[in-house]
Amino acid sequence: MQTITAYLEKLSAHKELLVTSLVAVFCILLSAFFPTDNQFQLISKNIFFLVFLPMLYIKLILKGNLSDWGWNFENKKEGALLGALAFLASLIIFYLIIRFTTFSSHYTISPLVRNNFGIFILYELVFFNIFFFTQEFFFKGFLLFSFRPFFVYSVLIQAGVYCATTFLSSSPSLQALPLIFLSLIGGYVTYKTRSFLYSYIFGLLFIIILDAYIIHLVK
Amino acid sequence: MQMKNKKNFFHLLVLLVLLLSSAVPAQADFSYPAPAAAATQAFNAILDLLGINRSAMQYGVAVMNAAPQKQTAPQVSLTFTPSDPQLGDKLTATATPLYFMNDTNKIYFTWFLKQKDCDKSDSPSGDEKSRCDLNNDGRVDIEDYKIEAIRIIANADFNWENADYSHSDSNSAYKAVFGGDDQRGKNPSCYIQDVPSGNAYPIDCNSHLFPDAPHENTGDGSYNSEEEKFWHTDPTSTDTAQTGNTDEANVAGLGINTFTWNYTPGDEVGVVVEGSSIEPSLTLDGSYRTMWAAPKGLCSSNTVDANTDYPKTSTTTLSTSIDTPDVGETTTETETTTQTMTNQDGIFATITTTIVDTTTITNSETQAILSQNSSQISSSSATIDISDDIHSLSLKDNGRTIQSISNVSDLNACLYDNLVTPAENSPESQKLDVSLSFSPSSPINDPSSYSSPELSNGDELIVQSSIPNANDATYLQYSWQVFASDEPNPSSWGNPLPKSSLPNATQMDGLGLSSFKFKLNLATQKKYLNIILTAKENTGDNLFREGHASVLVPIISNSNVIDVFDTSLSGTSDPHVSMADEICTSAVENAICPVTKNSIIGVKINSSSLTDFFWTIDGTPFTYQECFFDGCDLNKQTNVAYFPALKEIGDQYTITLTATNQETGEKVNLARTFQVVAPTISISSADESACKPVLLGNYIDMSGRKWPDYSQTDFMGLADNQLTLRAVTTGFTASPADLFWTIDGTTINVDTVAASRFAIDANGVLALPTKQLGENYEVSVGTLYAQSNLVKTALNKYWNVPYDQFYEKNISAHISIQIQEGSLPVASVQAKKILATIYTSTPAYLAFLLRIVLTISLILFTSQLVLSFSPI
Repeated sequence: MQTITAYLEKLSAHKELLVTSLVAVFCILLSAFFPTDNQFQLISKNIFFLVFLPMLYIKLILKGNLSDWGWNFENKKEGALLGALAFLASLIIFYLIIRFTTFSSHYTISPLVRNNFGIFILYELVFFNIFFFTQEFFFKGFLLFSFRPFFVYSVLIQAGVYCATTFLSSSPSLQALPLIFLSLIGGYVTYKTRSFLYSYIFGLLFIIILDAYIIHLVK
Repeated sequence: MQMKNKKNFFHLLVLLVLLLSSAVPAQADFSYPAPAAAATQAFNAILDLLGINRSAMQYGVAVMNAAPQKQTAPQVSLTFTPSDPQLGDKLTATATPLYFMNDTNKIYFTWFLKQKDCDKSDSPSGDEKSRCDLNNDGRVDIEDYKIEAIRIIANADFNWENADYSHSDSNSAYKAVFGGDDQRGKNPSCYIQDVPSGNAYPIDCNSHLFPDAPHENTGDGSYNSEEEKFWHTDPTSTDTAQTGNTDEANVAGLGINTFTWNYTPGDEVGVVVEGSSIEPSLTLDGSYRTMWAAPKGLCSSNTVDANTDYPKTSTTTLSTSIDTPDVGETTTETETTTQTMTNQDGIFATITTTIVDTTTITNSETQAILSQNSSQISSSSATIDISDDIHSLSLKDNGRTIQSISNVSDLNACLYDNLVTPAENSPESQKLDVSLSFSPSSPINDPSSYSSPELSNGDELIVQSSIPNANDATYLQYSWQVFASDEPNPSSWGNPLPKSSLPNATQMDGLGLSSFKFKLNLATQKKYLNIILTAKENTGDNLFREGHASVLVPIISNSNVIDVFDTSLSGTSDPHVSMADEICTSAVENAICPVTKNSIIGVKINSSSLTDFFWTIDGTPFTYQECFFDGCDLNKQTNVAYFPALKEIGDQYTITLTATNQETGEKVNLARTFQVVAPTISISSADESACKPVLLGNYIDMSGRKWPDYSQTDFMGLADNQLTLRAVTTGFTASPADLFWTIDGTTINVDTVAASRFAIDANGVLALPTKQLGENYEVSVGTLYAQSNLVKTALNKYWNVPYDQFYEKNISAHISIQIQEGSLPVASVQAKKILATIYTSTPAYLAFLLRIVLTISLILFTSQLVLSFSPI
C-alpha cells in the first residue's frame, strides 16, 4: 500500500511530464499518420500537429509562455556566437563528407529545383523553410524544453526521437544525414541559448548552402 | 245604150283579168304568202332595215328571260376566333352578312348554340331535359338552342340569380320590324329563295325567327319581368348587354353580329340573319324583300339534285267491249299519253308527248291477256315552262321542301343543318403546322469511320422542328424517320434507316423530341437523306391533331482524311524535307493537332482518285519560294504540303484542302486544325500491369461517358516486378539519346546506363529493377528541346525565319512510384452513400481542417482532464 502510494505520489509529481510526453507522442503519430489527400494538406497537417497543437497545449493546458519553450531571442550574444560556430562546423564537416564520400550522389534534389534558380529560392525559403521550422519548433522547442528536467540529456532525447521518427517514416538514407546532424548540433545550441530560433536560423542557412553546393557539384 | 256600155265594160274587165292572168305566168316565182309568214317577213325586213342582228337580239331576250332566276340571294358567313379553341377558351363567332340592303346594325341575328349531349329530342328526360329543354316545352329543339345563345348575349354576365324580378323597368321593350330595323312603316314582304332554280318564292310573314319566352313574343314591343327573368337580364337596366339597344332588341338580335361564349369541345353554333334583300319586292310600294340567310343556306338542295315530275304517264280507257271478238273475251281500248322531258334549261324544257292506242283482248273470266296491239297515234314536242313541276328535295331530317315552306316559322326546320363547329369551319386548325430545318447546310458523311465514331470526320447533322400552332410542344408525340436515296425525288424512298445504323442518334420516338441529331458517319454512301417528322397532339376527347413535314438533306460522302506527319531533313545548305512519323492519330489530337513552335509539319492526303489539289493555311494558299520536297511543283499544288509552326503558343492554324474526285467530279473539302503548344515531356508506364498512374477520379462528359483522370506525378508499382517507363513528348519528337533519366538521384542516359543497375532499350524504354513493398522510386526525365541546324536552315531559307527567333529549352518531368503488393486498382467509381455524398461535396480542405481541429480539441481536452485528475 505504501509502495503504491509512493508510486502514485511520484507519478503525480511527474504527471505533467508524462502527459506532455503523451501529447508529444500523439503529435508525432498524428503528423505521420493523419490522412491527407495532397501536398497542401500534408504541409497543413505538420503545421497543426507539430506547431499549433504544442502551442495550444503550452498556452491553454500548461498555462505557460512560449518563450519558456525556446521561442525567444534572449541571449543574443551566445546565440549569435554559438550559432555561427555551429554553422561553420557544419559546413566544414559536410564539406569533408562530400569531399571524401559519395554523399553528394545520394543527396537528391529535384531537377526542377536544380534547374531553375527561382524555383530553388522558392523551395528553400518557403517549402523547406516551413518544414524545417515545424521540425525545429517541435523537437528543439517543445520536446527539448519539455524534457529540461533532464538537462543536457534533453538534447539527446529530442535528437533520438527525431532520428527514430526519420528512420521509421522512410528507409534510412544519406538524404537525412544533414538534418540528423543538425538535430544534435542544433539541439546543443538550443540548450545553451534557451532558444531554438538560433539553431533554426543557422540550420536553414546551412541547408541552403549545402543544397546550392550539391547543385553546383552536380551541374 | 246604157245596157250595152255596161256589157262592154264587163267584157273589158274580164279581158283585163284574163290578160293580167296570162301576164302573171311570166313571173312564175311570185306567190302571195300566208298572213303569219307575211308578218314575220315584214318584221325581219324591219330588223334588217335597222341593222339589228337577229341572233344577238334573241340572246338578249333569252338573258332577260332568265334574269329572274339570276337574282343574288342574301348570304352570311361565320368565322371563329380562335380557330382552334380549347376547353374553356372564350370563343367568338362572327357573322358577316352579304347582299343585304341594310347596315349590319339594323339586321337581326338569331344565334343558336347546341351543347354536347343536347341532341334534338321529342321526349327528353332526366338530366338531358333539365339541361337542354330551356323553354320547358317537353322537347329539345332549335328553340332551346336559340335560348341558350340569346341568354348568353342578353345576360352579359349579369348576376341574375340574385336579381329582384318582382318588377321590371318599362324601357327594355322593342318592336321588331320585318326586314330590319330600318324598314319601319313598310309593308312586310317575305321571300325565300330556292338556290338551284334561282326562283324566289313569297311566304307568309307570320313571325320572326326570334326565340320566345314561354307565352311571350320577342320583339312585340312588350318586355315584362317574366321575360327579364327568362332571359336573365337586369330588371333595372334597359340595356343589360350594353350594346346600345334595349334588352328586347338584344334578345331579337338586333345588330348582334358576334357571339362569344366559353367553349366546350362538342359545342355547335349557328346563326340565321333577317334583313332586306337588295332585290325589291314586286308589290307597288316601297318595300324590299325580307329574306333570311344562314351559313349553309336554308333548306337548299346542295346535298341532293333537283327533281321534276317528269316523265309523266297517263292512261285513259277509251272503250270496253264484252264478248268481243268472241264470247268470253273482252276487248279493251286504251290511250296512253307519255310526256318525257329533255333539254331542261332552268324552268324551260322540251317535252315530248307521245300518244299510244292499245287494244287488249283478255279472257273475261281469268283476265289473262290473249292479245295486245299498240299503235302510236301521235308524237309531238314542245318547249314549255315546267316551273310548276320542279321540286327541291327536302332535308332528310325534316322532310321540308322549298315548296312546302309557306311561312317564316317553317324556316326553323332548316336551321338544324346550319349548326357548325369551329373545326368544321376552319379545317386547317386540325392540322399541326410543322416545319423543319437542318444544319450544317452542307453536311459531310464519313463512311470510313462507321465503326469508330470518335475518329469520324463526318458532321453531326441536327434537324430542328418548329410547330407554332401546337398547344404545348413538350407534350407533342414526335416520330422521326430517316430515308436515304441516290436521287432527290425517287419514286420510292424505301424503308427507313434503323436507329442502329445512325451513329449517336438521339431518341426518335417520344414526347417533346423537337430536334433530332445523329453523326454522319453512315455506312451508306447515298447522296440524299429524307428526314420525315410526324407530330401528333392529343386535344382531348380522343381527338388528335397531326402534322408532318419532311426535309431533303443532300450529303457528301467523304472518307478522305488529311494525315499529319513529323518531318525529317537531310542535306546541308539546301535541306531536303520529307515525311517522318505520323502524328496526331489519337481521337483527341485528331480534333486539334498539337505542334511546337518552329517545327516543320507535313500534311498529306492519300487518294489516287483526287486531283486539282488546293491547300490553304488560314485561308492563304500554300506557296513555296523553291522546291524542297519530293514531288514539289511550284506551278501546281500536289497532295503533299509542308508548313512551319511559327505562331505563338496557344495560337491555331487551320489547314484546308480542296480537291476534285476525278471519277465522280465531286468536290472534296477537308480541314485540320493545329495548335502551337509548348514542348512538354511526361513519363508514362510502358507496362501498366506492373506500374500505372494513380487514378484521381473520373471526368464525366456531356453524354455521360466517364473519362478517368490519372495523376501525372504519382504512380503505383508492384513489388517484385520490373517496372518499365517511357518518356512521352508533346509537340516534338525526342530520340532516346536525347533523354536524361534520374532515378533516386542517379542520372543516366543511353551512354551511361550500362554502368548502372538500370536499362534503356533501343526504343528508349527505361527498366527499373524490382523493389520491395513500401519502397518507392523517384524518377525524372529531362531533355533539351531545340531545333536542329537543318531545321533552322530550312526555316530560314524557305520561310525567311531569322536565326534569332530560335530558342532552346530544358524540359523535364518527375514521378514518384510507390511500391505495393497485389494487383493494381482498376479505375472505378464507388457508389457513395447519402451522408458520404454530403461529406464529400463539402470543400475537401474545410473538411480536413475540421478533422484536425476536432482532433486537437480532443487531445487538449483529454490532457486537461488527465492533468486535473490527481490520483492522490
